[in-house]
Amino acid sequence: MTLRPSSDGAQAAHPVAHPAVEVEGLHFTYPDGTASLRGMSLSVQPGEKVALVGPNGAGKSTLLLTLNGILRAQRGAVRVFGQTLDDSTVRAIRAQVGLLFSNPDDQLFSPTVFEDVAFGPLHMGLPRDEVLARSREALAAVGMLEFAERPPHRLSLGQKKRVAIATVLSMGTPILALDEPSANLDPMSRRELIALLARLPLTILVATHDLALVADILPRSVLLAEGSVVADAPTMHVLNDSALLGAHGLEPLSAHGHPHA
Amino acid sequence: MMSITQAAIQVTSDGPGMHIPDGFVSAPVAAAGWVAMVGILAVAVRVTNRELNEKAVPLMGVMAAFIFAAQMMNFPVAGGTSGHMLGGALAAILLGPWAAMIVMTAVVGFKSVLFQDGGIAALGLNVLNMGMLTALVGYASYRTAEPLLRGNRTALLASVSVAAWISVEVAAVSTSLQLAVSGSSPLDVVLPAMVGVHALIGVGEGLITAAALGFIMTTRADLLPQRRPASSSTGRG
Amino acid sequence: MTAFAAVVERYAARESVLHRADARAKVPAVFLTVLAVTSTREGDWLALALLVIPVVVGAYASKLGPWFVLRRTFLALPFVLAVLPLAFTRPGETVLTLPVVGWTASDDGLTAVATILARSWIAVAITALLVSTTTVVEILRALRTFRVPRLLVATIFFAYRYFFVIGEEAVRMLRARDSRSASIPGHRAGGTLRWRARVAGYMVGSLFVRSLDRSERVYAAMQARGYAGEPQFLDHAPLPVRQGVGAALVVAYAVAVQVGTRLA
Repeated sequence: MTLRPSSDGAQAAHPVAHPAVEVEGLHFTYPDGTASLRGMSLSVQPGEKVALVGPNGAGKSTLLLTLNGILRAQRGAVRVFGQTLDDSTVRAIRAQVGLLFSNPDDQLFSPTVFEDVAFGPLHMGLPRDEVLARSREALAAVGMLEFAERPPHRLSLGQKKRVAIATVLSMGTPILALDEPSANLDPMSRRELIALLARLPLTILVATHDLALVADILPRSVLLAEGSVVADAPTMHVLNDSALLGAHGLEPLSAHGHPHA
Repeated sequence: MMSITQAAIQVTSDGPGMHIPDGFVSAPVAAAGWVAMVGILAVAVRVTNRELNEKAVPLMGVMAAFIFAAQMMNFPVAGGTSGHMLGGALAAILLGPWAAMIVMTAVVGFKSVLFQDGGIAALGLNVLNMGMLTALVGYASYRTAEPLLRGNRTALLASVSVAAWISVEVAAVSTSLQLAVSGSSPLDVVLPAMVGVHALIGVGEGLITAAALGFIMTTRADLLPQRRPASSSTGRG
Repeated sequence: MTAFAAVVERYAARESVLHRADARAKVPAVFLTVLAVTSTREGDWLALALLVIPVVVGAYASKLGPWFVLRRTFLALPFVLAVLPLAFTRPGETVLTLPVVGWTASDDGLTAVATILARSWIAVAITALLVSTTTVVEILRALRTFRVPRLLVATIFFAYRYFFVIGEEAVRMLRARDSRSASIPGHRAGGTLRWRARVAGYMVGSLFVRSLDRSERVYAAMQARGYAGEPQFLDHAPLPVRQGVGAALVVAYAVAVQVGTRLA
């Protein structure tokens, strides 16, 4: 596993320790009037692995989409390594925050696996040799190198998810934001995915309902409800607070077997 | 029961009977079809690039896939036969004529390469007939009727039906002319035959197109071009 | 891999010269050869016979065999019906009279029909060799080298990718409809034609809504990876000279047949 954040990233440019991601008083309302974020604030340090949990509609996915400017908040600020997201920085920030969409069929839009993994580095304007090297490296990291020439419609869901992760890894973003990475996977594919995420030496935010995954690899949990942060604490504290979980539509994990501490 | 195989055969088989195979038209006619197609496409690409800019590729690509899939939406007619749509008129009403022509070129081209439904030397003619004429004629007929109806929904959908029907008939006429000019079929035989058969096929086209548009008007009117803002929002996360 | 893709794709995986050949050589070779075949004159049986040779050679060289190629070369029935009248309308010496209706077929007419069917069959067989030995992705990549506008190439790539996604969606909708299309003995089932067409139309409408939403999500996924409206492609290694020469030889043969038989 040799993948690392790109050396020309903001980390190097900002020697002062900035949080990797800083979200301040974020408000977002969809055009149809649904308010999704209502004053969301959150700070994530480089290297942290954070779970975003909460019921459907809590604002998890919306938050992820604001992190690299796919959605623009009406109020509040997003800062990535100290750089405030706006029109002039959005392209640079997209090279810092990689987004994994919940449905790999939305994420994998190229005719072959390799071309999809190469899409990010190619559109970042990297030279051809580096595009090829990064794409191979990323595919090797998720164990999908041998499927490079396959069209995505000839992959299983678990394989698609791994390739989708590779499409982000190849960009060399220091921050990875994942939306429901383990949803709908069979137990075996889910295991492989969790092991892969645990290995990645990146700052990771995961929006998920999979509390067992959270307990396994994400030491910090942020509980969201109705567009703001309800709890932000070490995962074990959040997951053991059945009253808190119950109040927000989540089932305590102990019902299926206690997570290892 | 509709099986996957049947659904696939549906898209792979020559439903409306208009994909000209190679050999049935003469080489000069086929070549002229290519020249015309390339010329029109060049304009369509320029216009679409300007109008849709960044969104052009994902929108038109997914829409071509949609038209493909829409052609699978068959309905039983009688005696084991089934009807389905060509989609040129619908694509033009939903996306505008230029984007629709690109979308339909992708669809017709794919059918030719993927399923050998229509020849490759004859591809220019097939794209012209089924992709470009249907889009242009369907759109023009619809746009002519629309302002006269003053927002009357039933009348609007009826005019959409007629527009779709006309688009299929025009494509049939054009196909007949190409066969006749090639010397492959006498005009006085092929023209009435094609126009007659497609008068019936066009009814299916009209009914499906109107119903599809009616569904969209009822459930997601915001998606229709007249009411769609220049840059609509990203889908809900 | 999805069952839908398995039914739809025509590529036949084998290990052969034709499979290994570069699509950038195969696509123009097939296109030009087909054009040459299309220009065969009526009644030029020698030319037609000579043009069958590449098909037979190709069938063996591709390891697909003649039967495989034959199975892929059924002719489109509506067009066969469209040319048949020529036999009866072309003036010439009567060689056949249909019983009952009394139509007369001329020798020139029959020659014309036979020529059209033969050259169409050869052209279809040549195309079948291409699509059975070349994956769609290879064919699409070849488009890039022929100066097709990027917008168009990228659109076609997306169409190919999402055809399988949306096609599967369509199959699921059809199944959901059919599983509810029951009938009770003694009752007339299925509704009117208009009603059935309308149900199909509603499915098309709902498929459109889903597809448009999907295109928005795909656009977001592209933006997230640095897309700014200008599609970029990985450039590929130049075409090996031998491949280009091979393709040119095939085309030259077809052209030589046409020219030779006209001069002879």
